[in-house]
Amino acid sequence: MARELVRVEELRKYFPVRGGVFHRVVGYVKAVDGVSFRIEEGTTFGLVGESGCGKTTLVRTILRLIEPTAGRVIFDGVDITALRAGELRRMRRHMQIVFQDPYTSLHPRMQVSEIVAEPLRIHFGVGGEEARGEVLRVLREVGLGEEHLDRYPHELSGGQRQRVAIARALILRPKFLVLDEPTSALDVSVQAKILRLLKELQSRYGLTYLFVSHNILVIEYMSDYVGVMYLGKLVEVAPKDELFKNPLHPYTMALLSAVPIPDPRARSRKRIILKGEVPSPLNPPSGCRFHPRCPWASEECRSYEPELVEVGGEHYVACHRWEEIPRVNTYMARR
Amino acid sequence: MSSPLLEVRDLIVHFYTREGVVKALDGVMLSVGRGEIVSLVGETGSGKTVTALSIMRLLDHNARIVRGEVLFEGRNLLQLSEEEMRRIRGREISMIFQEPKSALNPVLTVGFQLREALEAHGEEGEAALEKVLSMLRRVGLPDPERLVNRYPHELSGGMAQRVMIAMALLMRPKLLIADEPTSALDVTVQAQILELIQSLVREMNTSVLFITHDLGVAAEISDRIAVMYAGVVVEQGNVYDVFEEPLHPYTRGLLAAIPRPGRELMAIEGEVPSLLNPPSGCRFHPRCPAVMEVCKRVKPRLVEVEPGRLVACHLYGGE
Repeated sequence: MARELVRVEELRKYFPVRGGVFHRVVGYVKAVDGVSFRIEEGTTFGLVGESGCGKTTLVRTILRLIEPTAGRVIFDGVDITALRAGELRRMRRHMQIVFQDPYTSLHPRMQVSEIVAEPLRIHFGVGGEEARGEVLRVLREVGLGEEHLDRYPHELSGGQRQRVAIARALILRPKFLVLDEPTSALDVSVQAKILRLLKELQSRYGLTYLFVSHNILVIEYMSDYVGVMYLGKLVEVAPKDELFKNPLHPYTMALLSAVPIPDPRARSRKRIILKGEVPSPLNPPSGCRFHPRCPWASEECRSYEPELVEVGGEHYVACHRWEEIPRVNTYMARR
Repeated sequence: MSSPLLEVRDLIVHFYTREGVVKALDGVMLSVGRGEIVSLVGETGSGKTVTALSIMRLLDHNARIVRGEVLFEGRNLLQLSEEEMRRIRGREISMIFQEPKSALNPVLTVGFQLREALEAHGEEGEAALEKVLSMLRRVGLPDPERLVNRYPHELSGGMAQRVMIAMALLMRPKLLIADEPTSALDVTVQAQILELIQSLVREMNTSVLFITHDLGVAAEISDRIAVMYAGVVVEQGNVYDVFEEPLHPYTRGLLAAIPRPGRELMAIEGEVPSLLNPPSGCRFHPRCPAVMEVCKRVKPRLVEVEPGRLVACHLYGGE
């Protein structure tokens, strides 16, 4: 078995909600509520979920861009949740992030060369001519060149900007890259290029990815392992092929069956149309958080929260009734 | 064969901007038959929304319709007076948008806005309220008697889009233009809304022009699809034909760029051109893997290669 690079243990992030005349804490938004999983070196862990499920908060908490409320993150054998600021900063060069929106994540008044060189300056105090060679090297790796060095972000297309963001993340030669919806703001033809680039970079440098997306087709293309998130919790985790061929959690089944398939012949497939929308994480439902929308919810589901348990071959599911409920598999229809 | 409900012929639209003239639409050809759902697909800037707004005559002041016809039941909408056009909007053709909340007035209740829509066409009083309530029920909104007193910000994205659909279908229009109506929604809610639109329009025999950038959504909902690139409809046909045997190199590229299990992911070379200075000849030629000499000089016409199957590409004639 491959070496473990990242281990997340019972991670929690609660945001206090204040109200009333005295501005007291009246409750908590449990954005991340006890999440555990691991990522093997050189693989991609895909994190999928709908808006408000907490996936963005989760990855930011993993990198300690947001301080966790509880839980641990072990990176390369080191508990980074216990590190002090200085130590954490040294650790950061091994873990980088690329954000969704290349229009806001790049400084508008900085040239590409400065944007990409910035991490070198911050971490090693390297700048000017010394940095330039390294900047050019990494720009070429992401498919840009010398002609882009003096450009400003507004002079670049969306795809080129995202390449710049990837170059900036890669210049410190990190081991671990968090990709938070990196292609969601891009058109499909541009997205294809960025996804191919990310795969190429991964195989060349043995990079480990945590890839966040709401787009299931993208998750399926990129991932080795997939975790499905719902209202602050992982409801199912499995190797990619296993998850798509044999989804066990009713939410995963519904999610997969709801994905629009670019093949009109797939229209006749069996689908689960869920009722309602994702409830507020401020007052999550009792018991299993999915129970108000679940077609198979029982009394047990309303009262007790199911744990994420291994049901065989690295396949984890958090559902009381996974063995009894009908399996809806839409995978074959998607070929 | 009877004439289509909507026919857009050779529509050319320019925008006058500080940077210059944006040649947004370059001879758009499109038709929607009665009771038919037609998807208009394409990437950002391909001209899908401009086409829709031209049909509705809702283009910004800096836009100019240079040429073309928008025939609705045989009448050219571009030649109607503003007064005549107002009677068409809402009653004959209505439109829903990507962001339902920005299309609703935030300081007025849902009920007020729906009744106002009816009043604009001369329906008032108890009968109007009853119509509103029954429509809200039909779009699957629970407890409509209470909902009419609520404000848009109290609604979730999915509920707001249901309200918009109710408003759009109140007058039983012949044509519904839906501009990315599910793009801001989560996939499980999107599935609900797509199912709703499909069942309602079939029931009411309303035609739909469905604008989307998502080929998956187009495959789910349409009878026919039209693919746009840089202000031109490059291909049109039955949804099964276009997905199973795409003709235009751009359509092929677009389909190959969607991640699918067991298939290699292919990208389209280059970038979408600026429409300030669009490429000569075929606007796709600088990115086309099958480019020929003629493509750089001559704009291909949209030709019918089989009944109902149209493509604008020199590979299939069209000079």
